[in-house]
Amino acid sequence: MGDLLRKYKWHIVTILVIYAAVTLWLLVFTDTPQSVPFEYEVR
Amino acid sequence: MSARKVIEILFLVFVPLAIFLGAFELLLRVYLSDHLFYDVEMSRYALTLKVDSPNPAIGHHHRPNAQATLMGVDVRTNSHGFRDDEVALEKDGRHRIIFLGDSLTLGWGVEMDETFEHRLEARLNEMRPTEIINLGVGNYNTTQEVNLFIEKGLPLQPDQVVVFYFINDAEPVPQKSRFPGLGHYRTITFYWSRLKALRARFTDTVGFREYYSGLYQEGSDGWRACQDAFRELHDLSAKHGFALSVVLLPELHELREYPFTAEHAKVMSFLSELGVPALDLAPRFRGEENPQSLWVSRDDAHPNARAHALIADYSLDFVAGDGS
Repeated sequence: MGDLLRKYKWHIVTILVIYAAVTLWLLVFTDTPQSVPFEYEVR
Repeated sequence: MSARKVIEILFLVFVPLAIFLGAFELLLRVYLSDHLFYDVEMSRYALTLKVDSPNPAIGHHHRPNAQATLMGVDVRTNSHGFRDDEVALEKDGRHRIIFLGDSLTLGWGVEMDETFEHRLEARLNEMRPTEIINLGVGNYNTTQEVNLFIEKGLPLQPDQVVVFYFINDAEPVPQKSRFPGLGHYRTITFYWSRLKALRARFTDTVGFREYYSGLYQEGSDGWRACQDAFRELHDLSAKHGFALSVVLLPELHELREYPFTAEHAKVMSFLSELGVPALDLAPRFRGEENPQSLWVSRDDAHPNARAHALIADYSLDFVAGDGS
C-alpha cells in the first residue's frame, strides 16, 4: 500500500483535484431557485 | 494483464474515491452546520421523524415523541406523532378542529408558533374556546391524510375538519426510497439532489408546471384516488357529525399569473358537486410581486413564516364559520 501510494502520489492528487473541480462546478451550476416539483425521500 | 497491474488499477480507482468522499463528507457536514440544503434536510426528516405505517394506505407517519432540528427549526412530535402540543383524547369543552394536510400544514421550515395552525388557533380563541390539532405530515397526499384521520383523528371526536389542499395532493401514494444512504451520508444526498437538478437542466425532464398539471389529467390514478378520499371523508363527516371544509393553498412559484388556475378550478368544482365548502387562496396571493420572498429558502418553495401569516389571515373567516 505504501509503495503504491508513493508510486502514484501525483496520480492520486490529480484525480482528487478533478473530483473536487467537478463537485465544485456541480455545486455552483445547480445552485438555482427550486425549479422541480417537491420530491423527497419518504423514509 | 498481470495481477499486479489489476491491483494498481483498482488502487487508483478506489483509493482516491474513498479519500475524496470521506473528506467531502466531513467538509459538507461542517458547511451544513451553518447552511441548509433542502434535499439534505428532507432526507434527514425521513430518517429522524418518519416511520413505516402498518397501514399501506397511510404508508408512513411520524414517530411519536420525537425531536429534530430540520430546515433550521425545531420539530417535535407529541405522543400521537402530531407536530403539536399534547392532545387529550377526551374533549374539554373547546371547539375541536383537526387540520389535515402535508408538509405545508405541518409547517415545514417554520417555527411551530408561527405556523398558520398556531396563528389561527390564537385568533379563533378570541372568538370562542378552540383547540386545533395539526395532523399534517410531509409527503402526504389526500388518500394518506384521510386514512391517517380515520386512524388517529376520528377517535379525537372533532367538531370540525379542515383539509389544507396543495396542488401535489393528487399524487399517487409515494414509494419507499431505494437509496438507503440518503439521510445518513450528506455526500450521497448532495450528489443525488444535484445530479437530479443537472438532469432537469439538460434533458426534457418535466418541470413543475407540467408535472402538477399532469396530475389532473382525465384518467389519472392519483386524482381519482384523491376524489375517492374526499368522498370517504365527506361520508364520515355526515356519519360522525363534524363540519368539513377545504382550503386550497397556492403553489408559490408564480402568483400574479397563477399557472394552476385550471387545476384549482377542477378541485373547487369537484368539491362543490360533493357539497364540501372550499376556499381557494391562490387569488388572494395575486398581489405578491416577489413569490420567492414567501419561500422558506432559495431551494425550498414551501411557505415561510410570512406566507403562513398570510394564509392564517386569508382563511380566518372561512375556518371560523365552519367553512361556510
